[in-house]
Amino acid sequence: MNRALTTLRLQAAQLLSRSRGLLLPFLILLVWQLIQAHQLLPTNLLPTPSQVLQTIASLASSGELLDHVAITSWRVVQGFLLGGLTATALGCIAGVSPTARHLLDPLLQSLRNIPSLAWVPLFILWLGIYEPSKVALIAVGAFFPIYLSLSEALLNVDRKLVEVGRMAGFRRPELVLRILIPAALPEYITGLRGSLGLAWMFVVAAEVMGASKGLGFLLIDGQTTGRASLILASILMFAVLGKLSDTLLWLLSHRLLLWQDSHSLQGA
Amino acid sequence: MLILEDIAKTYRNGFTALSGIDLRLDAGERVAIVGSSGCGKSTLLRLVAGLSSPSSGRVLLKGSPLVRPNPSVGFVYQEPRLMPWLRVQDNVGFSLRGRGSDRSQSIRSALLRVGLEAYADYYPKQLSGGMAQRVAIARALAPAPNLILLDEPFSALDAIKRTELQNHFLKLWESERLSTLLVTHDVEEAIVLADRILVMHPYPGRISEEVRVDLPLEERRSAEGFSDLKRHLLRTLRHEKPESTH
Repeated sequence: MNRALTTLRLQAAQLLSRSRGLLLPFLILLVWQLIQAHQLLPTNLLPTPSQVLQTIASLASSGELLDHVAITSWRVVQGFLLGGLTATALGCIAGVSPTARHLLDPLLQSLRNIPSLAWVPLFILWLGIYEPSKVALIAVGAFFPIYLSLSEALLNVDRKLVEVGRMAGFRRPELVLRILIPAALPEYITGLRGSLGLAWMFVVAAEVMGASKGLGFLLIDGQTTGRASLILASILMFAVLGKLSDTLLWLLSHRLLLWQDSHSLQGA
Repeated sequence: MLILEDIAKTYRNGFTALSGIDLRLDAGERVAIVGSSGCGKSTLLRLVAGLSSPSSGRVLLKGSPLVRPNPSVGFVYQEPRLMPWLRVQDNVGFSLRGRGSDRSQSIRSALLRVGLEAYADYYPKQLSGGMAQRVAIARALAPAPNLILLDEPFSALDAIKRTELQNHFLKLWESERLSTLLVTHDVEEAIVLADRILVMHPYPGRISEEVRVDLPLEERRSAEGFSDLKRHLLRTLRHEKPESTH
């Protein structure tokens, strides 16, 4: 009985501490709603939170929202996979082989300094205005965080651990698989999360430059038709989807990193 | 078991780390190399491990030249060097070839020998420094090596843990008679753990004296002759003539 109560109390405390992150957004919404209830600013420029929610609700009930969310998410997934897989392969090669690094790295580092939006005209010229050019742009955005974190992490693996592998008689491929890659995994996953965030940024750029569907299209639609609530609704959806996808990635990856001796995992 | 013939090691920058090293280690023998830091003793151990190669001379293991790391040589480093992502049992089995029951048998037996069989499922982060070093010893023992190399293996531990682990290692040696080459700057450790002590001096790294330890295996620290031997070795390390007395 007593123990059940303690467990319950613990769970309540846990729930409370987990939901702390919602406190600030909620307060902001409250203040915003209160201000706009008195129409301090013109509501066609700054709609109330409830108006934004209504916009989302009506988009959802017509089924339109799901269409937009689906097409945008699909673009992100494709771009993230294309950029991510290429970056993983090249990052691995550049992190493991000094020769490959000397060949690849200067080129990639200079490409990295090109503002990614500068590629837009070229991609449209080469790939057309439909899906391929959008996916390509997102892939470029997703490429660099993964490439950089993976190649750097592989280069910085503790020489002492590698030596243990050499003493065990490991050849190059075995050293890579059994020491370098596991040791580089935490930084690689950080790179993945960074890339996923950038993929969401670039999908906006890709959809703003020309799309007939997607959340980015809603942004432009809201602008041309003067509906601020539509723009805010789209922004809100980006926030929710970005956070959701990051959480999903974290859930998939954090079990791989339970061995880490970090202070935030104490007692985990 | 192990023979070093006129070994020299000169680095590309011209620094001569070792010169004219001859060493012979018979099966079941325990040899300690003592020297102050920078005398080349760790360099020498890396040559024996096959982690680097001599500029001249030869390393022979069981009669054949050693040119790259050999699975029949175990290495215990100054730090545990465990793979943090592997559980204790997989760290111990890290260098084992093959899978299945042979492998798990070797792992269990190695863990048993260092007294950590209850910790097989732990991650390195959950171990104390002394325990982690025992796992490292188990990892070196697991493939049943012919020769075990120890590079200041207990120097990172506190005095109590160090003595405990030294005693533990002695027990292991008593039952298995593993050929052992120990490198240390701790003269007491060398006397406690070795049958023979080689003193090294730097610039260039060379063996300047060899001392046989004629003390009983057990409780050497309190044996008669321990402090004399210790004093003698310390004096030798300080470049003084062993005969001179003040």
